[in-house]
Amino acid sequence: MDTTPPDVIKCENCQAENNSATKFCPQCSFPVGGTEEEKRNFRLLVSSKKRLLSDAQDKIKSAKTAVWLIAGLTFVMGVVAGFAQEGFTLMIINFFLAVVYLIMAAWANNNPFGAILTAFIIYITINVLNAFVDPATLASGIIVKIFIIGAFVKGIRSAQEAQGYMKELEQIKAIN
Amino acid sequence: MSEVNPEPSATVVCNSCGMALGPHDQFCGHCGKAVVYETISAARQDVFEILRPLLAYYCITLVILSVYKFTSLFPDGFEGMLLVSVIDMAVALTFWVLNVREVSPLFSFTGVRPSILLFTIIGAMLGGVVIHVVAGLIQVSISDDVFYNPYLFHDTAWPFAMATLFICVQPALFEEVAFRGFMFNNLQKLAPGMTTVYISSFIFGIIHLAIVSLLWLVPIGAAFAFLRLRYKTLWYGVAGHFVYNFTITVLEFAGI
Repeated sequence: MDTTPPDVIKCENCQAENNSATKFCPQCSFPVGGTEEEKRNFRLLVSSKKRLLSDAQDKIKSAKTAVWLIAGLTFVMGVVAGFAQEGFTLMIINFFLAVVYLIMAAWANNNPFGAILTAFIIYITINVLNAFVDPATLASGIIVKIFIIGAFVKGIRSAQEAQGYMKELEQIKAIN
Repeated sequence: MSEVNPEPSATVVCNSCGMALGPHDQFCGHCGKAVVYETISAARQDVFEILRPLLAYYCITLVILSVYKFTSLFPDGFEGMLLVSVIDMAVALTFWVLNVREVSPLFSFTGVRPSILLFTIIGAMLGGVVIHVVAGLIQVSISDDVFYNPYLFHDTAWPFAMATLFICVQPALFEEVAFRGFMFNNLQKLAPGMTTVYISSFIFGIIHLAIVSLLWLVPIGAAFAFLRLRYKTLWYGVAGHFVYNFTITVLEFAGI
């Protein structure tokens, strides 16, 4: 099988060797036989997808930071509760919760979607419970809460989108 | 990722332009369209649109249970428990009906293997005993775990039968339909199988509104969710859930 036909051209995107008569590379859809403009459009498509991917990854990072932040805040609240009278149970609950958030923060490194969604649901739950126990807690630190919820919502959405961009870039062999 | 072409020898043509394709082509050389159409329809939809049933059911349940647990809106004792149970069941039933097309196949008996069922039941029984002992050691009341205290039933005509109905039968059916049924299906549209198992078991644990119980509720939820993922049936979860709750109820009534 070493009788390579003479009219073979190499795809500049994925290095696959193709018959020069083909218009698009069958391995990555790069327009090997296309015009300069078509080639430029392909590169533009790749770079715009890469930019979308990195935007999504930034938002995932913010959501991860939010999880670390909540873990820290919960731990501090546990320490504060521990110093208060009869605050032992509350301290244990907060420490336990801080550990749960830490697990989520660690899990977010290999599964951002699962970890951020779970942390989001836990965070909402704790806030609803606190609001029922003491309605005043709802308003306390409201700006931080809005920031955290915003980071979570964007993080969950971006984690899902990032997966899609990654798949698309893999398909056109534009990612290592 | 699915395979590109099932049969290298078969002549494959492009779906878009009808030109012949090579055996290992991923794109059509003639028109540049992808040969394998990835099922990315779900990814194109907004995540929160897909998650809406899950989040709606979760938030409604969270509010109902919080009102029951932290306010005096519901009457005390058995009546309050009965009322919150009926509301809870009505909500679960509504979502069940709304998602009946996805949930019904999970109740099929075909493919349910007695050996796995037996294994689940024995595991749930052992788990119930172990967790009862562990919970006793760290002084967590059973109410943390199964939400209702058995003392609620002591004034009724048949305390044990009532406890069995509301602590064992009802959660076994409705929690399984929710957490391993429509919520599980909902998550599976967005995440791989094992991720769905983990997320659904965390949600299952946290809705019990008892923080230390997460230590065993999450693994129990994960076990049932794994059985649901692996065998695509709810029966193992329903049976296991019933046996687990029943074991703990029996131990509690026996005063052990």
